[in-house]
Amino acid sequence: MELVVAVLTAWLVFVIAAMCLCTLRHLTFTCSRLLRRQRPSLGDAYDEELPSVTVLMPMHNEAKVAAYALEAVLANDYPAQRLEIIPIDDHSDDATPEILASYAARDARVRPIAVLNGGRRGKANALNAALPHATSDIVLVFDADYTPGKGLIRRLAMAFADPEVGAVMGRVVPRNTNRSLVTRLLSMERAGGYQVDQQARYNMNLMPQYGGTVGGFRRRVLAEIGGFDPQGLAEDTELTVNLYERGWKIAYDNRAECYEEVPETWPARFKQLRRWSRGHNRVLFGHLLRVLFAGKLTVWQRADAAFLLFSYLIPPLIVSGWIAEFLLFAMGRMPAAGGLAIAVSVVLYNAFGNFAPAYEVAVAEMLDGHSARLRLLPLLLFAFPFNAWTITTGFIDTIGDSVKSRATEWEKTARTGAGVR
Amino acid sequence: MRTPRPFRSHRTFRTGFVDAIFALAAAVAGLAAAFAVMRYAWAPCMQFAAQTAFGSAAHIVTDTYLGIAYSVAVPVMPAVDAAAALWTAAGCGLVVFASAVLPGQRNPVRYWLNANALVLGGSALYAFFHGTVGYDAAPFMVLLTRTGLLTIAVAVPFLTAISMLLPLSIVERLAMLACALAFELAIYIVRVAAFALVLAHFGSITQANLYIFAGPLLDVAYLLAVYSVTLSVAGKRLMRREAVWNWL
Repeated sequence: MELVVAVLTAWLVFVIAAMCLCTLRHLTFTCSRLLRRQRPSLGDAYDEELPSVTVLMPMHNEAKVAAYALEAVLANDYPAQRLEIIPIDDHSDDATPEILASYAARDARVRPIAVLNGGRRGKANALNAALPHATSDIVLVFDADYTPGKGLIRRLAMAFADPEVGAVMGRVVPRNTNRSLVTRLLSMERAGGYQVDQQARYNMNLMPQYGGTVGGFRRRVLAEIGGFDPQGLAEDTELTVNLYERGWKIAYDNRAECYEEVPETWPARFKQLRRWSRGHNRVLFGHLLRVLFAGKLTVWQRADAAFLLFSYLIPPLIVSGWIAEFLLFAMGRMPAAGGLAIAVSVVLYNAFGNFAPAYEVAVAEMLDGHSARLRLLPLLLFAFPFNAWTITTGFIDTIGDSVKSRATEWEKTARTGAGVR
Repeated sequence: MRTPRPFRSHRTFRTGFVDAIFALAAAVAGLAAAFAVMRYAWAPCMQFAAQTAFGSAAHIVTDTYLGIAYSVAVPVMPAVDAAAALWTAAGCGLVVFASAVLPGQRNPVRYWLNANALVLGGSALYAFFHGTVGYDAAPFMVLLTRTGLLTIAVAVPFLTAISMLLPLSIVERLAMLACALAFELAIYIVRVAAFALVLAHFGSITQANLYIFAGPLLDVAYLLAVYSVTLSVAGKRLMRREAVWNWL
């Protein structure tokens, strides 16, 4: 019994220490975003010699949003002769192919392709299939529910003027914020994640992340890597760590805003978050050691990489801490401050959202000028058990995938087309 | 290079030396006020809570923690009944099952319900197999109260400290601190009384729910509420004052 108590107490202390480290990290980011001079992006530079760009737009049954996304990309101010748009019809069985065909007939820049990979679908597969069709070295990726602003492609493409930059990431801003409580909370999370977190990591020369959409990469770099993992569900995290391992940089442009549709219902959010967790943890298992021992990274970059890879492991860790706490409590052996410590540490790290604690979200919303939305801040806490459990189920899926060597399947996030009509 | 236009992505707050001194002073004041409140107001509050819950029949236990002497009401808990524990566990299992299969439930509510049902069911099962679960009444109330003291000692200064990141006025800082402390004390009185009543009626199988879920939720939800309301009010003021913004 004493051994059990000792092990549980040690685990609880470990969980608390991990939470406190995460808190310190986010607090550092918040200070950097608020108090340091912000690092400019090359998107602010002006250059007549813009590179040729290919825009890839993977779509699976996106009839509700495909036209809006294509209209937005076509309306951008990038020189037409340097722009190629490849919408990828990934096994759609709705009106998506017809919509793509009508745009191809209307505008020579639109060159849709259809992917029929023996029935296997998913973003990684679709991108792998489309890359040989791209004629430019610089490839930008937009999901079908994203509507870029007019100057976005120019801003993102300019980042590649730096020959050390392997990928670029813009800022994601939800456009259907006022549709439901879920969308409001997700908007707050996104603000914290991009306005503060990503910008601070860029300021501090750590590891800003390529986020899979509203961003781009060099095609030759992807060829060097061997393409995306066809089993992967988090091709963005995979590309991020692959780039850093090879000594490439990722640029972040906070002004390159793109507008997305976030999930409007809890079940849709559950599916999305579970898929992210499953894919992200798969990358963790495959890359952690390589990143930790990557000679081209500084010590701080390695530490940031470890935090990045562990980010979807934190909720399962918290759940395990709760279980340890419950068992110690049931045995009547709770350390005097144990309950408080885990509660406070969880809360410091959380009010949780997409890994942006309350103070980070607060600062982001203040900078964005959305101070009225801050009244919803306590509600992030109520979404916490949902997030913790959803991410934990994704983690369990990853372990199942590894143990059983089973194939992963891409679960599409439901769209409504809200905010673009 | 073009000169970038002012844009929300490129602005930061301008924090001057005087602001920083005020912010630091407020954080120190937060720490001092938290300890002063605990030192002088905690004991009478607990006494009041004891009398609210049990009147003059309250069994009072005294304790000293962090150098603060206080008293706390101790309820008489019913002994664990094996059959009742088993029924409770079965009921909780049913709740979890029902919440999994019934459509149309709001997910955060469902997850809070499930988490509490799992903890309650787990406590009941533990009690069924071991004959006891958690703590006797007196140690539990002492643990609960010590946790409360630590919460104030940690959370209130932390709240004040993170507000240092933003250019709040000294009035806003002090108002936030005062609200946090006042709420901590007021709600703690109600909480300790309510928890004691729950224990007196339902026994030790409810202890884990009170300690692991209800307590932290009450603390954190209102501390965050104080923080968010303060920032929301301050945000409106700051938006109108160009002097607080720095542009890249």
